[in-house]
Amino acid sequence: MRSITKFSRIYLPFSKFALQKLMSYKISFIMFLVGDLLKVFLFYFLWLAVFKNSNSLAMSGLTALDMIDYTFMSCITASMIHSNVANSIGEQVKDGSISMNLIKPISYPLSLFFSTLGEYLYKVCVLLIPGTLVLMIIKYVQYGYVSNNISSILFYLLSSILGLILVFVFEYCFGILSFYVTNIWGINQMKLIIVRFLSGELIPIILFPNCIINILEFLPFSSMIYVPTMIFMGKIQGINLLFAYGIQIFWIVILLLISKVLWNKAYERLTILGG
Amino acid sequence: MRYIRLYKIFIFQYFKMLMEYKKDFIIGVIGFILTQITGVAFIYIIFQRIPSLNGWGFYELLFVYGFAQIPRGIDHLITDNLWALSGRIIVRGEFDRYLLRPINPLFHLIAEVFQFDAVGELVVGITLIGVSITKLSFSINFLNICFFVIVIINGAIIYSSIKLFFASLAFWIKMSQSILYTIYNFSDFVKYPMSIYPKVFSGILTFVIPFAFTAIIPAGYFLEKEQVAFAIVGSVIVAIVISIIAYCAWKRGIMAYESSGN
Repeated sequence: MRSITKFSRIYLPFSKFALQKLMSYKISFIMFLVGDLLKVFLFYFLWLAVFKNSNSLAMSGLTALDMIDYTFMSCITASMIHSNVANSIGEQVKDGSISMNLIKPISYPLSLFFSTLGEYLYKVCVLLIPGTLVLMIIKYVQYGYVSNNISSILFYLLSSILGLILVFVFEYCFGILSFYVTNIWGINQMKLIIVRFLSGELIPIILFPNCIINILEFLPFSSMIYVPTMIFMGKIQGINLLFAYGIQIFWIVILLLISKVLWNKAYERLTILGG
Repeated sequence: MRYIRLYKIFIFQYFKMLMEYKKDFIIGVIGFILTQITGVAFIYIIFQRIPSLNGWGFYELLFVYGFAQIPRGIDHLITDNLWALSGRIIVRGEFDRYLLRPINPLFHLIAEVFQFDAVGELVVGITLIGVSITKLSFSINFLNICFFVIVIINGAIIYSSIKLFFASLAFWIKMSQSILYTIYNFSDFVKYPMSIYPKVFSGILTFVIPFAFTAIIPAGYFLEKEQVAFAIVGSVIVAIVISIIAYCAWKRGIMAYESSGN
């Protein structure tokens, strides 16, 4: 019990600090958010037009109503689980401030994770709650009823937190690469583009050609955005739900192991350079 | 003439820097090409499901997509430093430097950075146009080639003017990068037919933040979906009007500029 209080006393301030930082740059944060949310409307209109032009009411089991859910929730989820860790590790390596963080008697990745968690909590308040409300109002006005139920929203929350951890570990692995590569920014941009496509942020994975669906469902990216979003929509239920959580956890464990190996290698190198 | 000579010197300096960071440059270009590939894949997946989108076929939209990249790429190549103006230069008081030199400060600001990464956008744009032209029945004649050059230049001017206008807001509010980012994102909408959006929305994209004149409208002319008066003459008028507005905003901004510091 005492170790838990000690743990939270050490790491919770990181969350608090990240939260306060976001709150003090409120306007800039919200403006960037508005810029991203514009994309939701683009995809919303685009999918509406696609459905109008197609003869069938559903594509691979998704209806026009589902697509509204999907465009909103995939964008919100992408923002929620977004992590800037790779970039910030890169910058710390560049200006040398990482050494100050490494000599502190606390776990470096954990302190980073708790900052990310603070940002997540902030986004739940300013993004998820208002975003979901707006979505439901739009659906109510357009179709006269709201199809989402509370349990799938709760299941979504759990899945999005697993997604957050997964993205964090993935980003952390990339951050470690900055011990080797100088232009981490360029590599980050490329990673962003690839993840955005493969995680289903732009297009629901179920709409891809069949052979690609099988590959994408096996890769870790679909667990980041596609899976939580489908859970929100109630498309993954019962035993499949447990299975989806299982895959998320499986990838978290795998990436954690990879990050351990990478870190040990990079750390040796860092000591040599410092020595 | 003097400015052309100066611009050459600036570009030469920039190339020296580029050679220093060759790897960064290549990574940047690959990044842009990847973005475009995902964009094309998106259109492809949509057209697996439907034969046409409000009367536009797959290769027609591919043409629009490629067309849209070119003015965007040209603007990106030349005026990328406007992003720095909106985000860093004014708030840190670095703008003093541009006012002290005996050349036009706007020229100096723009000439300073030559964003060669934009080659990625240009290459993809030209490739897509090439591919789609072979699949579409196109009338390539002298007049159309002239029009093409004109609307591409207009498109680049519209991009630069919108960027200049919103970057200039930083003279008053210090940091306008987030506003510029939001506005710039609107340009993603104009790769698709305007008829898929509500009237208010397409009106804004055509007349208020006229990104539509950088892609779907002029490209639509070549696909015989728009009239010459609206698509070509309209884009010339819009480019002239918006560049005057943007330059006035910039001029007034310089007047309002107060350096930071103590």
